[in-house]
Amino acid sequence: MSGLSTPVYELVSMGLRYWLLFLAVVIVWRAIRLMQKENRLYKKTMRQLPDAGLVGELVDLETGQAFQLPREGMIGSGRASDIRLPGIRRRALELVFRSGYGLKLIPSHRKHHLRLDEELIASGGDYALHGSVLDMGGKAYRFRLFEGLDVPEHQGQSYAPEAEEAEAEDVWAQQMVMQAPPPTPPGAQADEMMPPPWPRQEEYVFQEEALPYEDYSRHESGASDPYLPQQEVMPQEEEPQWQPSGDWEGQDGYH
Amino acid sequence: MDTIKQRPAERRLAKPVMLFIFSAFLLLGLKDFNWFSFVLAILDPLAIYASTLLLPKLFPADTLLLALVNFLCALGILTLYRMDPERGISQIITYGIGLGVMVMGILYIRFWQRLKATVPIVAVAAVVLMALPVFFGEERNGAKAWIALFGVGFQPSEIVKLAHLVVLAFLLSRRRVLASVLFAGVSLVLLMLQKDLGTALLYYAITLIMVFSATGSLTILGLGTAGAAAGAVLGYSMFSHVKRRVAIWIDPWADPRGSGYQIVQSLIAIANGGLWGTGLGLGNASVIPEYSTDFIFSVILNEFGVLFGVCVVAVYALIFIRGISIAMRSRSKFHTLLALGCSSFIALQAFVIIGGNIKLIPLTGVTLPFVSYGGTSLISSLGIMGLLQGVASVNLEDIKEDQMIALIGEEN
Repeated sequence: MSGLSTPVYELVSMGLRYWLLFLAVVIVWRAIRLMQKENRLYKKTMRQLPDAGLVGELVDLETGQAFQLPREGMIGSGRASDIRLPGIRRRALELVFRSGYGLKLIPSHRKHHLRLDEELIASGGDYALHGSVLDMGGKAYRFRLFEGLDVPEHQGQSYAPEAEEAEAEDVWAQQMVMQAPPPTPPGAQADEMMPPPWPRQEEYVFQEEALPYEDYSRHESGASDPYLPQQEVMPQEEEPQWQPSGDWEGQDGYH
Repeated sequence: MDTIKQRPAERRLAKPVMLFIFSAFLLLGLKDFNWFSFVLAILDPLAIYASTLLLPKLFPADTLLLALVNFLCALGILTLYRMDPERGISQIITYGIGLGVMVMGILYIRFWQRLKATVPIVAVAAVVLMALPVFFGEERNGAKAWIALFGVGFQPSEIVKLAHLVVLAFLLSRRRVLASVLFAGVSLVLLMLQKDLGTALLYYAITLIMVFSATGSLTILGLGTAGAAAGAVLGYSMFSHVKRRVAIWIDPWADPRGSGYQIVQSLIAIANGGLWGTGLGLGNASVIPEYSTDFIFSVILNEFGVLFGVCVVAVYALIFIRGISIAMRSRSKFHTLLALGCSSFIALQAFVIIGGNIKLIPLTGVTLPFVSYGGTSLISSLGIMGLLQGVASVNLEDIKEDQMIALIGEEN
């Protein structure tokens, strides 16, 4: 089967070259637009993720200064280092984050004195976890890795300020509970509560004027003061304790 | 929170690429009512659709890069098919194999943590492969760079490009500069022994770029540039064909029927095409001896015009910019260096051959990436693109991970 005649084909082909050029221009134009759009979206995403590309921070335990930890980088005193610290080699330690393992620390020199959790780091590298302590250049640094990273838990005594704060809050809460009045049983209003059936003990009032100065001052030997009122007047074991009834026990979360 | 994901804009980019190739093959089919041209007018756009829009559904990939690379591959297939249908069909088969290699490249980078133990094997294999033409190679166009394995001829230096990039990125990311320079030096010596100076030039330039990027040392850059200048002077004084090429570049009209014939015909073809081109199927660039490999850009300028050629150069520039952008977004040094090396390799190779075609620089025998005829060249170019796509894929997953970490942080 023969195709178009030569003059017709020439006409079609010469006409179509503008169409093909137009399509090529459209391809380039759309590629540029798409690239710009993606760049804008990427920058926006990065603004929303200020910690992007980081895995945590390295905290100087002496000064409290924190250095951001990249996924891969170098710790040293040199200009090319990602984390610059004084008093160490120009390239002291290489960092490589490995998901599922932790932050691998590879010393750049064989004869180094870098310790991770009080153990000398192997020349092939050791993994730092959340809470690991790095001894470097006569200073101690603590690794704080972000939550959400796939990293095993630190087996040693981990540094977790959040946990310490939570613990402190917990102790405070317990003290508050101890000092708080007994909870109201379910179904009863606080003002409707009956007074305890036992007589209320009168508070002991310490009569300071009644005693000479030398008698209530502490003994040098450290022995307990015989005039201290708690030991003499308030025998704890004899004081009756208020016990809540068993039907609502455990509902207030204290038990 | 916004996420970077495939958007309709990418589909809008793939559409004109598909339309371009459909229109062009339809036109070629109308010329002689060749049914195979009509089949290609359907199949080629479908292949572009599959590789541009369906591949990223398997794993995160850079759709923009895929679309641009597919456009160049399709342009190459179209031009070769129009000049010599047999070569066009051969290029289609190679394109299919190249897509497979590209996927392998993506997977290699995605599973890099498990596969990086293979780097020493890759390095040794690269050196052995590069050494083979020195002993068993056959000479083509003055270079002894080809070998035949099981009846199939190929150019090992093209395949070794992938290994070169991976090994250099690996060594430099571990700050083993000396080892990387030694590895590159062995490759360069073997290339010089093959007299494949164009490829040696590319290897040298890429090594210099990667070493400078990894170290930031101006001394290394200065020494490398001085070494290149010394090598150029030495090559000019030692090799007669280098002298001849420089002479042709300076004045091709001194011997238009002899040594300057190819470049003169190329310039005539470009001038004949003008701004708008002669029209697809109406050009006369087949008079250029190496029209399918070294001078395919002249063929494109002849039939599609200089303005279209500018668009092709712009596509290469966009691929390079995108590659640099991927390198800058990478979270690890290995990925950064690899992406930089891949994009620089493609851009530099395109610059060297396009510059040679238009008499901007002396002509060196390298192919136009993704477009020129040549199985090994197309496969290696797509393999390099696979490595670059692999880095882009890892970047996209890193952003997802960061978003997840940020969400967990917000919840707590």
